[in-house]
Amino acid sequence: MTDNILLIENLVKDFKKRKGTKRVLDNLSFFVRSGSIVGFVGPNGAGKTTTIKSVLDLIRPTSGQIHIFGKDNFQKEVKSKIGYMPEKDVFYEEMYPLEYLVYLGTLSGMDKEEAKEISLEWMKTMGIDTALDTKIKNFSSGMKKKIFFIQAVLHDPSLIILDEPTANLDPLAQEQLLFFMKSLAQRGSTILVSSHNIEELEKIVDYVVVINRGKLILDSPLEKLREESNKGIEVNVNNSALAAQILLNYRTQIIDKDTLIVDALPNEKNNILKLLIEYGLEIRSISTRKQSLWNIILEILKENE
Amino acid sequence: MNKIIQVALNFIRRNLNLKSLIYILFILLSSLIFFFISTSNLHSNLNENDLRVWDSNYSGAFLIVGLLWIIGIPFFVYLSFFLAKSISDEVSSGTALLILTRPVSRKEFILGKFFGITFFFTLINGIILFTLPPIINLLGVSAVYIPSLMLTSLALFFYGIILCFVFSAIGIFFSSTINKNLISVSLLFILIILSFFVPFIFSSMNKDIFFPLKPFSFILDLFPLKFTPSSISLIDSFFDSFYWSNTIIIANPVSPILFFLISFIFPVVTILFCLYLFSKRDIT
Repeated sequence: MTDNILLIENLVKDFKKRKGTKRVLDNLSFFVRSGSIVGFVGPNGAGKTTTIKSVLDLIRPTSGQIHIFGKDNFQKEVKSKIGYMPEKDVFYEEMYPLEYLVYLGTLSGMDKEEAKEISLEWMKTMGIDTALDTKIKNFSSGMKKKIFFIQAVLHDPSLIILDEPTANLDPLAQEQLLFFMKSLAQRGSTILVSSHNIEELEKIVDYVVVINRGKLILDSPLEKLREESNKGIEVNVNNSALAAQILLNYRTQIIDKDTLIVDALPNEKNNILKLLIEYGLEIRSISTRKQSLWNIILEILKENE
Repeated sequence: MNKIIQVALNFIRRNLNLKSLIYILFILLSSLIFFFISTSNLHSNLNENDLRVWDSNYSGAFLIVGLLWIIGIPFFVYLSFFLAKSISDEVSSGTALLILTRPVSRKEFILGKFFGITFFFTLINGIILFTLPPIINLLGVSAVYIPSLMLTSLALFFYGIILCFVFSAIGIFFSSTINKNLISVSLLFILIILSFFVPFIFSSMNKDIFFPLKPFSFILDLFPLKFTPSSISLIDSFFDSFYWSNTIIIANPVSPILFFLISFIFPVVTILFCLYLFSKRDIT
C-alpha cells in the first residue's frame, strides 16, 4: 500500500488557442498509492480529463513528468498494465461484444483464446452473456457501459483508470460496478476514478484528489478528510440546558430545549454519553455530525475560488 | 508487426459488409454493361476472321472499362471517402483512444490503417477483376478470349495496388492531420484530378475530344504487360489517332526511376511524415 504506482510531477499543459495559449494543467503533482482507490474530483474544465489523457500518453504535456510503475508512461510495457474506460462510450458499433473484447484483449497482449475465455467469464459475471449474438449497436446504454468496463479490466491491469464509470447507469447497475471496483482493488489493482457522483465515490475511495483550474487543491485520505470535517456531536436529551452545564469542559451550542451540539471529536462520544448518564439525564440519541464528502469538496473549491 | 496486422485485419473485417457487397455488385454490373456496349460497337467495324484484332478489341475494351470504371472514377470516390475518415473518425469518435491506450504505438496504428485500407481495396478490386472474365464468358463471349481478359485483369489488379498504395498514403496523411473529413475528401479529389485529368482537359480544350485514356496509359508502359501486346498497341494507336498531339502526355513513357519515385518513394515518404506529425499531436 505504500508504493506509488502513479507519480505525476509538475505537470503543465498549454493548449494553443487562436489568441495565445491556455494553461489547462498548472504544475500539477500528486501520486497514487498501490492497491488504493483514488477519487479524482473537480468541476467541469478543472483538467481531469487532460490529466488522465496525459497519464495515458494521449496528450503530450508541455512540461513535467509522469511515471507509472517507476517508468515513463509511454513505454509499451507500462501501457500493457493499464486499463482505461473513457467517459464517452466508444465502440465499433457493428461488432459483436465478444469480437470487440477479443480484439481489444489481443491488442493488450492477450492470447486470442485467453481473451475469449476471460471475456466470456466477465460477461457472465456482469449478466450480459445472453447478448452474445447481439451487435453492440443494439445494446442498451447500461449493457454498453458494462462491455466498456470489461474492456478496461479484461487483461487484469495493475492500474485501472475510469472516467465517469457509472454515468447513465441505473442504481442497481451502479452498485454492481462499484462492487467490482472494490473487488478489483482488494485483488491488488489500483484504481483512479474520476466522477461527478461524489456520494457514489464516498462508498469506495480510499483517497481523494481534488483539482481545479489545473491545480491541485486537495490530496488526502478519505478518513482524514472526514475527521477534519467533523462538525461535533449532536445530543438529543430531555434537558439540553442542563446537559450544557454538565459538559462545561466542552464548547456547546444549544439548538433547542432537547438538542445541543458538542464541539468534540467522534472518539469522545462515549465519554460524553457516560457523563450525561451519570447525571441522570435521559439521552434519546447521540451522533457525530459529519459533512458529506460533497459538502467538504464544495467548501474546499469555494475556498480556492 | 503483430499489432499492425491486428489493426489492419480489424479494419478489413469491419468493412467487409453489405456496403462493400453493394459496391462490388454495382461495379460488376455496370462494367459488364459498358463492356458489351463498347465491344458491340467495335465488332461491326472489324474483320471477324482476324482473331488477333478480335482479341485486341476485347482486351482493349476490357482495359478501358477497367481503367475508367473498376479502378477509375467510382474506385476513387469510394477510396477517398474511406481514406478521409480513416483516422479522423477514429480520433473524433474515441475508438482510437482505446487502441492507443493499449500497448499499440501510434506508428503501428497508422501503419495498420494504411495496410488495412490497401489490402481491403486490393481484395475488392481482385474480386471484381477476376470475376468479370468468367462472367463475360458465361454471357456468350468465347472462352478463347478469356485468357487475354484474365491477363488484362491481372495488369489492372497490379495497377490498382499501386494506385491504392500511393493514394492511401496521401489520404491517411490528410486524415491524420485534418479533422474535417470534407476538407480531406476535397483535397484528395483535387489531387486525383490533378494527377489524371488536368493534362487531358487542357488538350481537349484545344481539340474538343474527350477520351481520358492517355493520361492513364503511362502505367501501361511501365508495367510488364508483354503478355497483352495487342491490347496495348490497340490503346496506343486508338489514342494517338484521336489525340491532338503527343506533346501533352503524362510521362509516356515514364522512366523506371520516375515510376519508382512515384509509386514507392513518394508514398513511403508521405507515410513517414504522417507518422512524425501524428506522433506529435494530442489525441483529445
